Amino acid sequence: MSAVTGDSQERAVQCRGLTKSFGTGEARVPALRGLDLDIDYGEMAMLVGPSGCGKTTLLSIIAAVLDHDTGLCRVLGRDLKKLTVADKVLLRRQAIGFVFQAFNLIPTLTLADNVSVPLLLNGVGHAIARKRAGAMLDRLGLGNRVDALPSELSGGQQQRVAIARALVHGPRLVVCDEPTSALDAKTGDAVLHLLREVALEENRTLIIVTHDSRILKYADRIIEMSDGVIMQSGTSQSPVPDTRSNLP
Amino acid sequence: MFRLALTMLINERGKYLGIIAALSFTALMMAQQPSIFLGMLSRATALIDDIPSADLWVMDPNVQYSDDSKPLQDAQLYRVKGIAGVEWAVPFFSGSIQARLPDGNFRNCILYGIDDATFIGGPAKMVEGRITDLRQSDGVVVDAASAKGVLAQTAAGDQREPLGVGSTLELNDLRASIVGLHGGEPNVQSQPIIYTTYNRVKFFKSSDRKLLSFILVKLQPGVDAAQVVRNIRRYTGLAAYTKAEFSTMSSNYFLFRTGIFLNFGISALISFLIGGSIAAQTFYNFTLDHLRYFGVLKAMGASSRLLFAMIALQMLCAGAIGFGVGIGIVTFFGVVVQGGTVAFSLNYWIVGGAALAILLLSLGTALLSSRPVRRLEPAAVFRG
Repeated sequence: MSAVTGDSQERAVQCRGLTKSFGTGEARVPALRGLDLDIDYGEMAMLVGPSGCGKTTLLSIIAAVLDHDTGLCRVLGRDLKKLTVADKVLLRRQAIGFVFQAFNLIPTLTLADNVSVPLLLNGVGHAIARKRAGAMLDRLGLGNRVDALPSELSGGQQQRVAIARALVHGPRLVVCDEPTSALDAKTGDAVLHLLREVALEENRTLIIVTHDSRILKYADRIIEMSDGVIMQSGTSQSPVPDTRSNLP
Repeated sequence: MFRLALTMLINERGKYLGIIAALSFTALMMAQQPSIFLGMLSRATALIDDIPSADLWVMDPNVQYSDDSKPLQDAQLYRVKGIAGVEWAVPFFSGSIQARLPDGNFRNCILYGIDDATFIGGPAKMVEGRITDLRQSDGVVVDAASAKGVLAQTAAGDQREPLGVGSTLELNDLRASIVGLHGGEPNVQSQPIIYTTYNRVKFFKSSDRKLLSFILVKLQPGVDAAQVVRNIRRYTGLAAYTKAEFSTMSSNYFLFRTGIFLNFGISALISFLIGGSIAAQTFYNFTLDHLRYFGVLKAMGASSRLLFAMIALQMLCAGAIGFGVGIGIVTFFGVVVQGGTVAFSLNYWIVGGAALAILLLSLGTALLSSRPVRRLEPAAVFRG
C-alpha cells in the first residue's frame, strides 16, 4: 500500500448503508443500522447523540480500528472492506491522528517521547522525531516542557500534548473521542479552539465524538445520531470565539 | 520505538528493579548450585587427576569410586609388577584416620600413603616444604586450606592459630610432624587430606592388617593399555582401570549412586521456578498495567509484531541485566571461597546453561505477556 494522500475529487469519509452489530444469536445488538454519511476534507464534524446510539462505533470504523459488517465505508479514498489488516495498520499509522477522552499519554515517557511516537512508527529517526515533536509542542504552547512527564501537567496541558501527538505526523484525518470530557469548561473551550486552528490546516478533516454541547459552536457540521442511524445533520450557526489567549 | 520500550520499562522503577532482582536470583542459583555440585564432583576425582604419572589404577574388584578403599594383600603389588607391559607399579594407601590437635580437639582426616622411594602419588602442588621432606621422621604433609582452617588450633582468646611446617599433631595417638603443606583440594566431605609415606602408614595404622588400597601402574611405552588391563584382571583377579575410566567411574558413582546430583538438581530447579515465576509474574503485571498504552500504540498503527518485539526487548534486556548481576555475584562468591572448604567450580558450560535458562525464561515470559496485547482490539481504546 502506498502512502495515503487526499483526493480532492472525493469525500474524506463516505459511508453508505453501514451496519455493525455486536454479539451473536439472540444476544446480537445492532449498533449501526444502514447509516449513510459524507464528511468533506477540511471539515470539522461533531457526532452527537445519547449514549449507546453508535457514535463511538462509527468513529472506530472510520478510524479503521473496527470492521463493519455490511455497507460501504471509504476513508481518505480507501474502501475499508478491501483493506487487509496490514493495510489498515498502515492507514492508521500514516493518515489518521487520534485524540482520546483520557489523553492516553504513556506516563513513563516524556512529552517529547510521547509526541514522537507516530513519527517513530512511520520510520522517522529518533533525533529528528524528537526535534519535530518539540516543534509541535512549542506550537501548542508547551515548548518549555518537552522533558516533563505527563503527570507533571494539568488536564488541559495533557490534552494539548495528545493533540500534538495526533497532528505531528501530518495526518489527513483526525478522530477525537470526547476530547473535552475530562476538562473544565474554560480549558475545554481553549483546547477545542486550538484543535480547530491547528488541525484544520492543510485541509485536514476532524471528526469529534462529544456529549459536550458547549463545544458544538466550533463544528462545521453537527451530526446527530440515534439508535444507529443519523437523525439529522446541520451546520453550526454559532461564531467561533478566539480563546487562544486563555490557554490552560 | 525500541528505545521508548526500554524507557517505559526502566522508568517503572519498582517493577523494573523487582524483575531484575528476581532474574538475578534465578541466574545466581542456576549457576551457584551446579558450580558447587561440579566442585564436589571434581573433588571426587581429584585424587585420580592429581596423579598424572599413573596410567592404570589397580584395585579390589568391588571398589566403586576413589575414596572406596578395600585393602589388598601387599603381595598383589609384586604380582602386578610381573605383568607384561608394566614399567613400574607402586603402592598407594587411602583411608581415614583421626587426628588429635595440640589443643586437644579431634578431627577425622583422609590419609594417603605414597611410595616411600619415588613419592609417586604425592600431591600435585606443594605450598610449603618439599614432598621429599617426608623422609624426615614422623613426617606428614597437610593441605594448606585445612592447616589454616579446620586443623587450626584454638589459642588463648579464641584466636585461630594455623598449623605450619614444624607443627605437630597426633594421628592415632602417634606423633606426626608437619614437614610441608600441599595445595590439593579437600575431599567430597571436606575432610583434611594428609600425605605420608606408605610404610609410615603402617606405623600410624598398625592395627590394620591390610593397607594396600590401590596399585598405581605406569605402562611401558607403546604397549596396549587395554591388553595390560585384561592381563592384570586375568592373572591377579584384581580390577584395573585406566585413569580416565576410574575417573568416570568415580564421577558416575556420585552422579547416579548418591542423592547429591538429585538434591542439587532439585535445588536449582526450584530456584529457577521460584525466581522465574516472580520475574514472569512481575513482568506480566507490568505489561497488564501498560495494556491501555499498548492499545493506544496499536490504534496509532503499531503492528502486533512490533509490539511483541518491544515486549520481548524489554524482557530480554531485563534478563541480560539480571543474568549479569547473578553471574557477577556467583563469580564473587567463587573468588571468596576459592581454596577453602566449600567446593566450587564455575565453568563456561554452567554460565552458558544459566544464560540459556534466563534466555528461555525471558522469551517465555515475553510470549506470555504479549498474549493479552496480541488479543487486544485496537478499538478498545475508544471504550474508555
